[in-house]
Amino acid sequence: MSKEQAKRRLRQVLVYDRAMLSPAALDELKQALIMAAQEYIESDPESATLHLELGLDGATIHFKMPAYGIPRREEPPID
Amino acid sequence: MGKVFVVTSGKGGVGKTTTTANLGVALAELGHRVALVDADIGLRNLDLFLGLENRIVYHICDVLERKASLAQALICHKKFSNLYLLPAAQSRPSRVHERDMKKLVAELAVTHEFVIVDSPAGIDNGFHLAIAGAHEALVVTTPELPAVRDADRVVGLLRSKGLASPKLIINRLRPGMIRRGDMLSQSDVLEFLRIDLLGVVPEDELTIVATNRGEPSVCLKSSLAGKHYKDIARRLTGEPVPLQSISGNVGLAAFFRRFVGMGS
Repeated sequence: MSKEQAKRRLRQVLVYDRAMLSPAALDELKQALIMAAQEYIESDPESATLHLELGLDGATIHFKMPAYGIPRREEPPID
Repeated sequence: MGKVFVVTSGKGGVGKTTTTANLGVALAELGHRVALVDADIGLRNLDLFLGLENRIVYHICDVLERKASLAQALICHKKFSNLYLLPAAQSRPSRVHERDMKKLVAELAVTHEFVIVDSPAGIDNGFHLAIAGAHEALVVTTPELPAVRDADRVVGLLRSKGLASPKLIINRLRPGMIRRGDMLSQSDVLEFLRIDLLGVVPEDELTIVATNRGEPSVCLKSSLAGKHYKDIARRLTGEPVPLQSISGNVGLAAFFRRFVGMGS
């Protein structure tokens, strides 16, 4: 049943082809999104996930990251 | 005014030229006036599939560069006087323009009901020249990963060039392999490409025999691929020919194949 393997691989290449993204570019995007999100939420970057879903004319990017509240900012020192 | 089709695929070797030759002869057999244009400039081959390789005097670039008229360059088929071929050049001149190609196919469409342009493999200049002036695109693929992937790219490119609804032809389906789960079925391919299916063609050894003889499969009575090409040609004329599925299931198709096998 090599067909299932073919379908899995095809789905993967088409999703990158249609989005015009490479796995490396996607990883860069993930890091950038984590950095941006951490400005606003307390989170665990290790458990963030990003994946592409095959669409008709491109792909949809799904980014998931846990939110634990507002990040504690260091108070500026009072002179 | 006739209709201009371009046969394209992205990947090479999936059966673009075979498809062009078969559809051309099948449409001519139905009585239509047909012009086939070999736009695979540099790698002329459509002439071989039609058995017209010894008759070439002028080629497409002579016409594009106004060194010859269309009437001078068109070659009439030996068997069908309503089928013409405009052969490719063996080398690509420095300047051939898409606007001249548009004019050329429009001129052919005045006197022919069907103009079918065979495009080269790839998605560079030759591809863009071949699709210039086409009203509709036929995308040929086989049920294999590289072919489907390239077909997907081509569908995207065609859409960006205004050919919004290309039609798909899936070539070289092998029922036995589909049955064993070792080949993508037509519905698997459609799941990925999501364009209208115009037809399916089974793998058929007689295709090679046909090429050897210089007459397409539709000329061979016992060719199953030929039968499917005839159906596709009739669909192009607007006739609602039901789609025969080439599934892995043992059914009418398998029985029919055996029957044909016995007959030959």
